[in-house]
Amino acid sequence: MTVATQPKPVSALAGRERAELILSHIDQLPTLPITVARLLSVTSSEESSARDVVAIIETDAALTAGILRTVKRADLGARSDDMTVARAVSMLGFRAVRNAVLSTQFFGVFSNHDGDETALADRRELWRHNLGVACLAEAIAEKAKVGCAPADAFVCGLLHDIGKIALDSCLPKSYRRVIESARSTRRCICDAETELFGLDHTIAGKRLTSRWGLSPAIVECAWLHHQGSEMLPTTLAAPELVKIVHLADGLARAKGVGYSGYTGETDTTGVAADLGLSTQDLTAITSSLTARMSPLLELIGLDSEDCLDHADSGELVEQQLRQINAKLLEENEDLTFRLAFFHAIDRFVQNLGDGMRLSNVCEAAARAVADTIAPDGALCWFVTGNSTNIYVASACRGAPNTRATVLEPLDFAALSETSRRQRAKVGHYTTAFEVENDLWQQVVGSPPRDQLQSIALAGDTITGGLLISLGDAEGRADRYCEEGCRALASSIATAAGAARGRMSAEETAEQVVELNRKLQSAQSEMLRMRSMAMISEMAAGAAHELNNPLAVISGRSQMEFARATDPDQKQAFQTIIEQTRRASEMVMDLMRYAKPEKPTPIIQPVAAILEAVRAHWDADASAIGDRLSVDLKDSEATVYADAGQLVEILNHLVANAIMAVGDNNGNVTLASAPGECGDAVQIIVRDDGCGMTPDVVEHAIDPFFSHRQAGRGRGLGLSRAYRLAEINGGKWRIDSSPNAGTSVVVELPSRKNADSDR
Amino acid sequence: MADVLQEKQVFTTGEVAQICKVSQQTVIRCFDSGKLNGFRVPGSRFRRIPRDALITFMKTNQIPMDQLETGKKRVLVVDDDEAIIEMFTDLLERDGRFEVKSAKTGYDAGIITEQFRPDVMLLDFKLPDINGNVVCRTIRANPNYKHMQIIIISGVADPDEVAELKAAGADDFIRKPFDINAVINRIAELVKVA
Repeated sequence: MTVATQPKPVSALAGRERAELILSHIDQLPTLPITVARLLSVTSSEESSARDVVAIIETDAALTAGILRTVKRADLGARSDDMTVARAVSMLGFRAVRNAVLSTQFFGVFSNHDGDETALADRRELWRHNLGVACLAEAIAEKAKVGCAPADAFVCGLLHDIGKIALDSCLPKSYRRVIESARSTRRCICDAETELFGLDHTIAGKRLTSRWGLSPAIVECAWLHHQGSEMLPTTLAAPELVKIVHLADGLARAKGVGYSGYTGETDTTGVAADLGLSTQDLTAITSSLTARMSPLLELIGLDSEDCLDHADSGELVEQQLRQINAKLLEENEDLTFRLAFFHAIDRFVQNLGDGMRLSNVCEAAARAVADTIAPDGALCWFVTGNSTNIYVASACRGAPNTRATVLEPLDFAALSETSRRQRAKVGHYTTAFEVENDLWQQVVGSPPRDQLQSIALAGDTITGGLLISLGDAEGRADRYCEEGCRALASSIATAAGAARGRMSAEETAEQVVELNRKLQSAQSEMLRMRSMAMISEMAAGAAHELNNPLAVISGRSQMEFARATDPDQKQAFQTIIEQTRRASEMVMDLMRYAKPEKPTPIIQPVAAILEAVRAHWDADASAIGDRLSVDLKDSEATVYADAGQLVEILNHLVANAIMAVGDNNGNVTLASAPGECGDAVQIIVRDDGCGMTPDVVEHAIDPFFSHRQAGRGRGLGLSRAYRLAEINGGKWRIDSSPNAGTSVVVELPSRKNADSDR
Repeated sequence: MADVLQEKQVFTTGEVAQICKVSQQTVIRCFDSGKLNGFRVPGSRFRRIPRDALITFMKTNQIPMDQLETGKKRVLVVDDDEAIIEMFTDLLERDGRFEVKSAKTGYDAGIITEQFRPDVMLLDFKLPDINGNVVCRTIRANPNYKHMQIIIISGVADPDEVAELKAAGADDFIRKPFDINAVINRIAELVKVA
């Protein structure tokens, strides 16, 4: 089945010469197998020929084996041990067997190849085409009532492109070029063949079929199958067959059955009409194609990928299938692994809610990764550019909760460094560093069952990492999916960046609110200071304006007092003098309240101050005597304040307490206690008197505010005391409720420091 | 005679001799030698001695001033409040040891000081035109009034302001309203009257 040695390269010869040379090659092609010749001779009658066909097949062992295998494959319910060719023929039908045998034999003749896969594929496609045309021709012959035997039509269809096969067999490389050329320039393959060989496949086919001594109908079909019906010579032996094959060829091309090179459009409807076929007939014919072709394809082995050796093709296919299957399985597993990363991203995005903070992102990532990629759990950590905190969250599959924690700054440095090294070294995915292994144990609590994998989550301002334990699945730890990791890492890092941005926006907003609050308090303080300044100004003005008339009243009264002799008159003048003095004192108090004297603070024992106050009240005629007690907790305690002013503060408070106690036999206590903040001391004036409502407490220090009845006291005592405490760096608090007594807690610095040194 | 002399601002050599209880020739000699400052009347040879120059001459030579003064201490009350002025005038004149004049503004106070040459000025801090501290400082800048005592009397008692007034040259500060006896005693103490 090899081509004879070529004396010269074909392409070097002139057209006609070349054609002759090629035709001589064709003449040298193997003759038709005897089996085919005999089969072709018994095609006339189905009934009488079945026996002959069986006989013919049985003379060929390979053919017998092929037929039996076909029956077996077709799974017709027959047991293989008692299968005979005769039974096979009766089961498959005479026609099928005969067609199958013919196809096999023809295919066999031209199954030479030089290992060129592409050429082989083309040849296979060509045979598919031939078989398709054969089947279609058979079907058309059955449908069209033009007196053509379907068996003849099949043979004619099968061999119509024999010329191409002949040319391909003679000059395989050149013929590939023909096919390529026709395909790429999309022109009729006949033109391409003529150009290269000086003749086309129809001529070659005519020559070969003639030489093989096949029937004139076959020769005519091989020669004229591209001609439309109106172009056919009138002297043809079987013009109807030629038309049938022409139509079958057109249908096969339209349906894309196999490939035989482009030949231009075929007017299938026109030819069909010529043969008396309707469009419905054509549809029926076309749709029956698969059923007709499959057994033949199977027999020849064209249904499998690699089918040269028909006998072994099944096993070969199975073996290859096994290999492919194994490879697919592996790829599938790999893809599943890769897909897991994208599932993780999907889950992560689902887990992300609105307004997430960095810690939430951390947890969402750990949860998503644990649920998808890492059966043994996942740990996600983040540090922020300007923070020494690390957010860490871990999650395990099956465990519903995510564990979140914040680490010490110490770990931050090591982790940060790790993240940096990861980025510098291997991008996103690497085996965990030692510090990360430690982190895992610290947070998850147990060592991972397998090597930890680390994915760096690093952006411009965010560094972090994702630790995953891939479990003990074989080889999974060694798997590497950079794209998956990168996608996952950037998803998480992006979300983290957004969260951080949002957090910093929130922080800014909070700071703004805080600043606003401070500003507001500063403003109200300023307002208070301004009103204080106004009071001071007003008091100064009032002092001048009031003191002048007071001075006149007082002065004149003193003069009249000196002159008066009547005791009653003297008493009256004395009263006037006294009241003017009181009025003047009131003005002075107001002025001193608004503009107190600058304190001269010194460090002194609290005990001494409290004793001085008690002594003052002991000496006072209106004092409550032994109902004023001193409760000194820490005799060593000191206070840093102006001594005179501090005594004045306490005197005002005690005076107030005495008034609250009233005549009810209540007690007033002077106590000291450690301050709430570091260097401070509290001095407390406590009484078990009538107490105050919150409303009164609120206004207690307002100047001239008095909840008592009008005319009792001037209402400046507490205001003045508060002012003095204030300028001495003190704070105070009033704890009081009606009928539960009152405690005024004055907290003052216990020693000199920057804050108290006003 | 003595009353007239006490009012005069410019004296003849005869009057100066009478006041100083020396001969007119001695006066002329002192005038001519420059020990007693004065001027000659334009267009004549008559000598005239201003009150300032005479007082300076007498103090320098330790001549008793009895003939020039009434024996009463002069007190100038400066206050914009009429009632205050009336009260002080009444009070001090009733006492008998003081001769009292008053001014309602800083400007008046300046003019009257020039003529009246008070021994003591009772000065209100708040005046309609200028504040008491300015009056105080102006007087202290003039050496002619270095013997004058200034007592600030004010309804304002801001310790800072009091300190400032003292620095401006005030000799004392008394807050309104006041004890009248304390004020008179303080004045008497400052001008050394019994």
